[in-house]
Amino acid sequence: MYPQPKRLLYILLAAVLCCSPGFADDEAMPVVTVADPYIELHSGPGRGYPILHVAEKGESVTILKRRTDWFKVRTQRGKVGWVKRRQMKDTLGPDGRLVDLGDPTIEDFLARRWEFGVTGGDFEGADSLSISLGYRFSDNISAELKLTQATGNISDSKLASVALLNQPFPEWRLSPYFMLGASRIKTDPSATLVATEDRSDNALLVGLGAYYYISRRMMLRLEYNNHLILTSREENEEVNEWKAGLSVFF
Amino acid sequence: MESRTQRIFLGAAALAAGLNLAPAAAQTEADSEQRSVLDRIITPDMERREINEDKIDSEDFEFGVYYGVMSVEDFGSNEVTGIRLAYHVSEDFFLEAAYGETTTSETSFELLNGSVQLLTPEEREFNYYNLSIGYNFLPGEVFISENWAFNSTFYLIAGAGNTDFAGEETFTYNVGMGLRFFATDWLALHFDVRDHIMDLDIFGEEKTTHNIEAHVGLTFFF
Repeated sequence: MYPQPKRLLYILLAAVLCCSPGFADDEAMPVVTVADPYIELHSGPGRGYPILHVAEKGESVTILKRRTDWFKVRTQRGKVGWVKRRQMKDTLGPDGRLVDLGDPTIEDFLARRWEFGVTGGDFEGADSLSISLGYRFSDNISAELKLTQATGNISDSKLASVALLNQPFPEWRLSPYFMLGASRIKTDPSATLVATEDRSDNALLVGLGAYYYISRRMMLRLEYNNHLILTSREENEEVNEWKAGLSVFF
Repeated sequence: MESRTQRIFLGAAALAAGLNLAPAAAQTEADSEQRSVLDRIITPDMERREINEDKIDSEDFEFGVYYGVMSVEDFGSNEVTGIRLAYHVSEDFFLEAAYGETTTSETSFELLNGSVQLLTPEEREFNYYNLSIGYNFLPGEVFISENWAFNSTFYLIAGAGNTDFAGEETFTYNVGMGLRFFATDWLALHFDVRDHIMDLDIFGEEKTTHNIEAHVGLTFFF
């Protein structure tokens, strides 16, 4: 067990050495001109960090990097600080045109491609937790890969699923969808209760759900799945799953 | 018949337009030549670049390791190690995935009894993973001395996951809070306290256990 911390430390060190931030060359960094009366440079990317400098209208600043809705900039006089996205909204590019650095809006939601989500819920009486990765091919159709673990009193299950989603009204803020998919399910009955062995089965799933765009890059998701487990026994098994969660899109 | 007359008229019109346009075209050519000479004098020689947000380096992910003490109810307090990966959705919210492991020790009953072993050595391994949502509750500066301040944020965090302990997997909630202390923009130190809440039935009767973990961690943003 104890080599673990050391191994982790090596991974961390390697990662730090590989991509140590802050040393990228300046050539590729965009320079913008302040169009607001002034912009405020905070000491960190958040509302709680003090304003240490300001840059005036007409001054040009170099954008070094971004974290969430904050840009780290350097002024002509070499002062460095973090500026909120809202203040960078009206900056001008080198050609004198407005630079589009606005908040992610519902347009970004409509144009999203990748989605990562976490959901929790009820899997026929067991507590379930899922992570999903989705890719949207067109306005209506997306594909999804999902891993679920459900733990309950009677049995524990692990599922890996692939599904296709169809959103008939992609432009709605509250957008319903239905889905069809297939899963591989591994069921592990609680050993203290029943003396059966683990089994793996294929399953089919149909589902209904809805997205709700909250703001920025976040959306809520509510979903119902009906799994038909194709068992090796006489009868197939049906499992109902309800879940709710949060997704971010890129 | 009609189409033929149309063609003739159209042809004539086009010819007329062409003749008319020719001097105009020559004029604009001369104009643009003159303008480009002026441009060279007036406009400084600078490269025109489109500013695209995708080209700006973003640092929304945070990865790190932690080390601390975890108290597993009835099974003693032992050292815990783990890794965490977080995605910062906004300045307020972040999503975090964590994996940790500890080896629990013997219960008081086992120690007093001497010969009884409730769990095999393998079952004593306590591994957990969880997915949580954090809220940066109190961002601000902390002062180490009068002239030495660091950015920090106090966060609240809650989530759910699974624990593999005593030969079974158990659904586990976690709630906690922590302090993220920024050494630089991209390197942070964490002080974190977490309660892992789960229902265990190792002793025949199901009961809710609270397993408190306290750790220090090091993370970097990328």
